[in-house]
Amino acid sequence: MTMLLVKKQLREVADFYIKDRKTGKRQTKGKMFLFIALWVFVFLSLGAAGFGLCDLFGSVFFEIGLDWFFFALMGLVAVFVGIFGSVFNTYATLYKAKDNETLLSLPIDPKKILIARLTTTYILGLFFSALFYLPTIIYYYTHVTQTVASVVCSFFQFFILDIATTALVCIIGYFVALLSSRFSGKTFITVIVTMGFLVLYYWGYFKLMSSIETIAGNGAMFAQKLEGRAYLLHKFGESFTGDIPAFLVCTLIAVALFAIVFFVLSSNYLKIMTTNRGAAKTEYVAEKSIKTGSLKSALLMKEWKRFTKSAVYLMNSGIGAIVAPVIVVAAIIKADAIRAGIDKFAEIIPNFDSYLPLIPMLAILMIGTMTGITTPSISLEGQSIWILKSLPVDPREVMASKRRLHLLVGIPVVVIVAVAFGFVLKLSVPNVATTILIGIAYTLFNANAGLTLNLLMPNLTWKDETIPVKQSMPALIIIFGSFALFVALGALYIKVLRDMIPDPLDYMNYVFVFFVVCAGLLQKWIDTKGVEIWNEL
Amino acid sequence: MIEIKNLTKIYGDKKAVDDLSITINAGEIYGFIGHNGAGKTTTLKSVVGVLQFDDGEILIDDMSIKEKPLECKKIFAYIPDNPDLYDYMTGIQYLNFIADIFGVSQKDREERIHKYASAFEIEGDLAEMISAYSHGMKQKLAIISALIHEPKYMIMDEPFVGLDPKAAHIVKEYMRDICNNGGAIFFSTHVLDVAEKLCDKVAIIKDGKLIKSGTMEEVRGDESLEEVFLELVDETAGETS
Repeated sequence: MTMLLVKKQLREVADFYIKDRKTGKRQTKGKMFLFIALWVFVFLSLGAAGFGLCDLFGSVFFEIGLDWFFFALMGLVAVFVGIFGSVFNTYATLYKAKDNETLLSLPIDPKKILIARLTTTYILGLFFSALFYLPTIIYYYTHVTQTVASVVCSFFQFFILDIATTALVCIIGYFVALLSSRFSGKTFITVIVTMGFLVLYYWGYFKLMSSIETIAGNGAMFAQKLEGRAYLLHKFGESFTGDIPAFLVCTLIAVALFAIVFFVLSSNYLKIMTTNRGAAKTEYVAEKSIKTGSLKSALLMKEWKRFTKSAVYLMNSGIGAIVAPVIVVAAIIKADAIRAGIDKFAEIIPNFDSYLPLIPMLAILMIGTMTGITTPSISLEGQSIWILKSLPVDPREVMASKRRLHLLVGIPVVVIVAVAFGFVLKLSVPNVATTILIGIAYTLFNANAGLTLNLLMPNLTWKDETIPVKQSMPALIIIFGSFALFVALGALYIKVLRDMIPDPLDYMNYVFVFFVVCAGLLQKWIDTKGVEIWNEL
Repeated sequence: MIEIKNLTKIYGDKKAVDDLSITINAGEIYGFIGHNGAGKTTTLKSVVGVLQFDDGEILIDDMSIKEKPLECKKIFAYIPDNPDLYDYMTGIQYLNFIADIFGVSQKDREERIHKYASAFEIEGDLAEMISAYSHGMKQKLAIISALIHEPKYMIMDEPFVGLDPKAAHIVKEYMRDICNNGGAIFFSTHVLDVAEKLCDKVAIIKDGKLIKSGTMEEVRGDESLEEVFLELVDETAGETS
């Protein structure tokens, strides 16, 4: 039974990729190939980032014999990524899953439901942790002489570490769920918690970066201090390097932590699944609540509510708007350091000044990609799509309202960040203006590309909205396709067009025209073929 | 008048609706009966433009739903069998949204929301998120949203499922009011007693094909609607086997 439940959960995630939505049959070989290619790309990209981090730490700590500190850091990064990747799913998958009532009405022991869901959480955690842990052990195996014990310990620690990660995900996920169920502003709570995570991560990361030279210079003393003060962290790091007692202690702690969490959850799981802690009832006052608006404003308001009432949607598709103020404040505070960094680059890279105007452009494009509101917007209509289809609303208006929200959220982000970059990098006014125009054109292009992809690959039958928002093909294509496009735009100028177009601002004008034309072509397609697809949904 | 002419809808290689023709005249409550999977929902969804059909024609007051969808949709309202509403809105936000789409004035919407919400006893819950509503409350909200623009025609898929007896009674009254004002109701139901008491005309569908239609008296004769329905369904099962 437990395996059956695990299979059911994993199948729900996998079905979207391997089965055709309408026929229920397996996807064509072409689509499957595209899917596999995309995931390979994702793995390689994040794996490369993980490998870079390993090199940063490894090159310092292996030389001074602090292998354990390397693993302590990379292990914590893997745990963090595992938690961050799964914690917001636990509310929808572990505690308040949509199929709770269905499963409880069947003769299934709630404990088995819990085991199945924990297994899925464990597998998801493995997947996220692997993105950083695999590069870690590959780097370790290729840079340090191995013993049987170190190979065995570092290999099995991957699976043991994830047991602790799963337990932590359950605990943190429970408190996130509890907080969000006690307050009416659930989305706000989730955003605050996530921002807290991000701030903590970057604070830790930058603190470490600033300390790394000190650590490298005083390795032995630092290690001695840390060994004395942070016994558990030391043992945690040692457990990867072949220290069998440390390995056993860490295994014991991970298993004990998981056992406690499992015991507490399994004792109360039925209650957790069935308790509905609704917020206090809101009083209805007709005079305040009944308001008239236009058709356009009604559609826009609908999209806005859809966007802001879902933490998953807001955090994944509107992260640009959330991090933009942080980027701007950080850039202004660290303006001198950034300028110094740019000067260093100018010394190393020939003709760097001629590339300088392109840097804010590429940065703005990256930030523009963080707004992905239209990408899951068709799929998110879900089973309520009948409402818009039965109302006297032109489908082009529906598409326009989704696009409008994307622009309303996305354009201020690129404008504010472009102005901040202009100030920090002391760019000329034409350069800033062109960067802003490119940002706006790209936001429009991105909005239309998201709509197009979602119309081509809609999924209206999801049970958990993380599937259309985070795990859909359109979302993957937008993120990684955009990344490839930026690399291509940068490389095209540097490698091919620099001699033909000496002034980078001229090249930026062409980029602007490129995005405007592409956005226009996509809009034309949406208003014709896209509307036909919408009518068939 | 709602005219369904030779409607055919195909899913893959299966005809969900096969050459179906029905006319619903002004002033009529028209019941649509059939077993599960007979093609009722597909027909209703085609009428309201939620589903595209493969062949035939659907006319609402002589306007084709394919050629003039917006004009048609302005004069009818649709209530599906399972009202999946916008969970991320409150009840009143949803009603405001629908009223905005139809351009209902402030005065009219205030009056109508109060009238219908108090009748269905959900006025006090309108500030709550729809996600917190029960199935019956969602059904009531869907009905209020359908009535808010005073539609000429109402197309309803199993409208009484999930409603308490009082609410079901009120819905029947509103259905009759619409017909008395020159409109019409086209609805599907499995509750044959309700159909028998409420409908002026009835159509029985099986495997996508119309097997009998007409006034209630024409269809049932001296028997009950239930007996006629079961006989017809069994007869056609014999023919097809």
